[in-house]
Amino acid sequence: MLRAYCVSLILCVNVCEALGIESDNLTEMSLEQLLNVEVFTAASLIPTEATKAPGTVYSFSQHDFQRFGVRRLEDLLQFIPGMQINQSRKRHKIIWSRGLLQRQNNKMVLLVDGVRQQHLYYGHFSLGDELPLERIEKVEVILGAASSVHGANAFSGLISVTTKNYSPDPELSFSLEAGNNDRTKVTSLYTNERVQLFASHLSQDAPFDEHRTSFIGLPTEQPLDEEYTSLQVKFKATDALTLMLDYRHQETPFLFIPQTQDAFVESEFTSVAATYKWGNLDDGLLEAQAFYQWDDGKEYELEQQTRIEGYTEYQDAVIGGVSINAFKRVADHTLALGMSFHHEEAKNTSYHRSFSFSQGFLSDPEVGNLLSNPGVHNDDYALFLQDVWSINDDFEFTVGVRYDDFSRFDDYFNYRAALVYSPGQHHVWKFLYGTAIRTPNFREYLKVLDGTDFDAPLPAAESLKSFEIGYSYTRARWNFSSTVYLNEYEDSIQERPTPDGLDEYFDNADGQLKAYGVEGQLNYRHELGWDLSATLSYVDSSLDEHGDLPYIASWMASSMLGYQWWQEHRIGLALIYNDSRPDINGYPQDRAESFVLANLFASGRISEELTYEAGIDNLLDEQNYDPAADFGGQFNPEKSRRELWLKLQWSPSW
Amino acid sequence: MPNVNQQNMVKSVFLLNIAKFVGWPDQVHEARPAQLLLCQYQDDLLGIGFEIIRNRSINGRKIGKRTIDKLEELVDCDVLYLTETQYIKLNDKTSAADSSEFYGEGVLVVVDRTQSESEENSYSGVHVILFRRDEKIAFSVNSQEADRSQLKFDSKLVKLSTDVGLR
Repeated sequence: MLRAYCVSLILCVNVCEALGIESDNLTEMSLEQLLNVEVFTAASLIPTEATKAPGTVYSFSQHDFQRFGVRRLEDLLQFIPGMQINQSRKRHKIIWSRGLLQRQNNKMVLLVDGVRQQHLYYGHFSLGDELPLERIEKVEVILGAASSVHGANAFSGLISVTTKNYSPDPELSFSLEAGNNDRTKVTSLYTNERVQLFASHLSQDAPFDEHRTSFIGLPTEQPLDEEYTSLQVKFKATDALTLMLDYRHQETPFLFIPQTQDAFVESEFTSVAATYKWGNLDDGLLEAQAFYQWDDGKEYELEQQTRIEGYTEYQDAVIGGVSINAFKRVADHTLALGMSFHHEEAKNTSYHRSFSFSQGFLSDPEVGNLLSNPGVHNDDYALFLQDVWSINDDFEFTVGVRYDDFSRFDDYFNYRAALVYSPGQHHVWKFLYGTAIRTPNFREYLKVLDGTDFDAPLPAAESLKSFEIGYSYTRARWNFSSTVYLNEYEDSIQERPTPDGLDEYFDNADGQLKAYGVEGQLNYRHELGWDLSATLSYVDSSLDEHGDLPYIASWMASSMLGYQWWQEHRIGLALIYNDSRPDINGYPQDRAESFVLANLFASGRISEELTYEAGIDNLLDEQNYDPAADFGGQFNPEKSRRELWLKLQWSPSW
Repeated sequence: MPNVNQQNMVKSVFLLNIAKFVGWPDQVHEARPAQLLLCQYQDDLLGIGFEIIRNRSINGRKIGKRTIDKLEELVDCDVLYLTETQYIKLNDKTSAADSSEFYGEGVLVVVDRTQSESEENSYSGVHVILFRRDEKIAFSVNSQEADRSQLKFDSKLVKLSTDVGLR
C-alpha cells in the first residue's frame, strides 16, 4: 500500500511538472480553478493540441524550466531539435533554426502575450536575462515558415511567450538568485483574479572569461558588469478586456570589443497594450489588440585610458499596431478572418564620434545620422484568412493566406496548406507547405554609406518556401516526434562591399539555397521517478557541392535525464552537443570545433512556502567558440564559462 | 512539451472534482462503500494522467480505475469515461428511446469531446460533457439525464457548468 502511494505520488509530481502546475496544487484545485488551466496550445491562433497543430510546435511550461535546469529562455531553446544557439560578439545569443543564418534575431518573431516585441533598428529581439522566466507561464515555439499567419519575419519560426496566469486567490511570491560572477537577481510577483504586478532586477558580471580575445584577435579589457530591470503590469479590466504595461531597461557590455575602447549598450523598452477577447468559436470569437511601444537604444564607447565617451549612437524608434481577428466554427470548418495595421517609425538615430581606434581623438568630431532617411516610417496593412476543415475524425485540413501591403516595400502574399492525419489515438501525421518573408530592417535599407558615391539599391524582402512532414507517436509514458523538411531560401539579404570598396551595403543575393534536414525528439517518463528528453537533428544544403553550409552544425543533439527523489526533490543532468561548425576566417586558435556542454541542476521544496533551484552550467568549464561574429573575417566569440547558481523562491500564504 | 499525459492529468482532476458534487444511489454506496470505480471502455484513455487522482477519497470512497471490454461489466462501475467517438459507436448499437437506460442506473457517464470539433449537443444517456473552450477545458451537465439515472447533482456543479444546450 505504501509503495503504491509513493509510486502514485512520484508520477503525480512528474506529470504536473510538465504542465506547469505545482504537483500538490493541481489535485487541490477547485472546479473554478480548473476551468482556468490552459491545456491547449494557442501559438497557431486557433487553440489545439501541440501534437495536432499544423507545423512543428514545441511547448514548455514554467515547470519545464526547472525540469531542464534553465534560467533563460535562450538556454531552453537548446532542447528544441534543429535550433543552434550562438554567442554574438555583442551580448545577445543568436538563434539559428533549420540552417537559416542571422546575425541578429530577426528571422523569427517574438510574441509576449500576443504582442510582437523587437528592437527596430536591427529587427532584433533577445531572449536572455531581459525576459525573466519568473514572469512566464509557458513558451510555445513554432519552427518553419509562419508568415501566412504572423506576417513578416515569421520566417524560420515564432516564439510565443505567455506571462503568468491570473490567480483566483491573491498570490505573492519572491525569488532571490545568487551565483558566481557576482550575480544577484531578485523578482517579485503579485497576482489576483484581475491584477498582476511583476518586477525584477539583476546585476552581475557577464559570465565570460576575463582573458577572452576580442573580435580582432587581441585581448579585450572590456568590463563585464551589467544590469537588467523589468516591470510588468497586467490588469483584467473586464472579462474580455486586458490592459498591459511592459517596461525593461538594461545596460550591457559589448563582450568582444578591442582593448582600445570599452563599449556598452543601454536600452529601454516600454510597451502598452490592450487586448479584447469576446465570444467562443461556436458562437463567434472576436480578438482585438492595440499596442504602442517606445524602443530606445544607445550604443556608446569609452576610450580606454581617459574614459571619455568617444562614440555614441542612438537607435530610438516607436512601433504601434492594431489587429482584429474573428473566428467562427461553421459545420466542419473553423474560419478565421483578420486584418492588421502595423506602424514603425525611426526617432533619434543620430551619432557622435570624437574618438576612432585608428586615429585617436578627432580634432573635428563627426556628427551624423545612422539612417539615410532620418525619421523614416514604414506602415504595413495586412489581411488574413484561414480555414481549418475537420474532414472527419482522422483528417484536418488547414489553408491560410495573408496579404501584406508595406509602404516602403513591395506587397507580399504568403500562404500555407497543412493536412493533419490522426489515425487512432497514438499516431499523428502532418504535411505542411508554406511561405514566409523577412523585410529589411532600418540598418539594412537605410544604412548611410561613408566616403563613397555609390547609391545602394533598396533590398527586397527575403523569401522562404518550406515543405515538411511530421510524425508523432504518443503513449502513456513516452512520446516521439520527428519532422523532415525542405526549405527553399531566396533573395537572402547580405552585406557586401560597394564597387569602390569604400564601404559596405545590403542587397539581395542571387540564387537559391535549399536546406533540408530531419529532427526528432523523444520524451520518456518512468514510473519510478526518472525521465528523459532527447533530441537529434541533422541539416544539409544544396551548398554541399561547394563545401559544407558555413557556420552551421550539421548534427546537433541534446539530452536531459532527471530523477525525482524523496517526494519533491529532483536532480538532473543536461547535455548539449553541436557538430563542428565550418568556419572560413582561418584563425586556428578559435576554430569552432564540435562541443558538448554539460549542465547539472537540482530543484525541490524545502517547506510549504519555500522552494529551491540550483545548478552548474557548463559543468566542465569548457572553452568553446561560435562562428557568428561577422560571418567571415572576425575572430569568433567565446561561449560563456562555468556558472554556479542558487535560487530560492518564497511564496507566503495569505 | 505538453502531450496527452498532461491533458489527461487535468481531465482526471476534472473527473475527481465533478464526482465530488455527484450523489450516487444508496445501493451503490452499499455495494462499494470503500471504492469509487472509474471505468474506461476498451482502452486506457487517461493513461498515466489518472495517477494523480488514484486513491483520492470522495466521501470515504477511494477512486480507482478499470478498463472494461463489454458494457455488461458496467455493473461494477461508478463513472464511465468515453471519448465522443466511442460514444457514437456505442450509441449506434441502441435506439434513442432506450439509450438513457443503456448504461444503467447509478453510473455517471462522461463523454470527452475535447478532441473533436463536433457541434453535437444531443447526448442521450450522458450526464457530463468535457469540451474545449479555447485553450482550456470546460464541462456541461445534463440534470435531466442525472435524474433518470438516480444521480444527484449538487447545485454548485450545475452553476459552474456551461450551458451548451445538451439534450
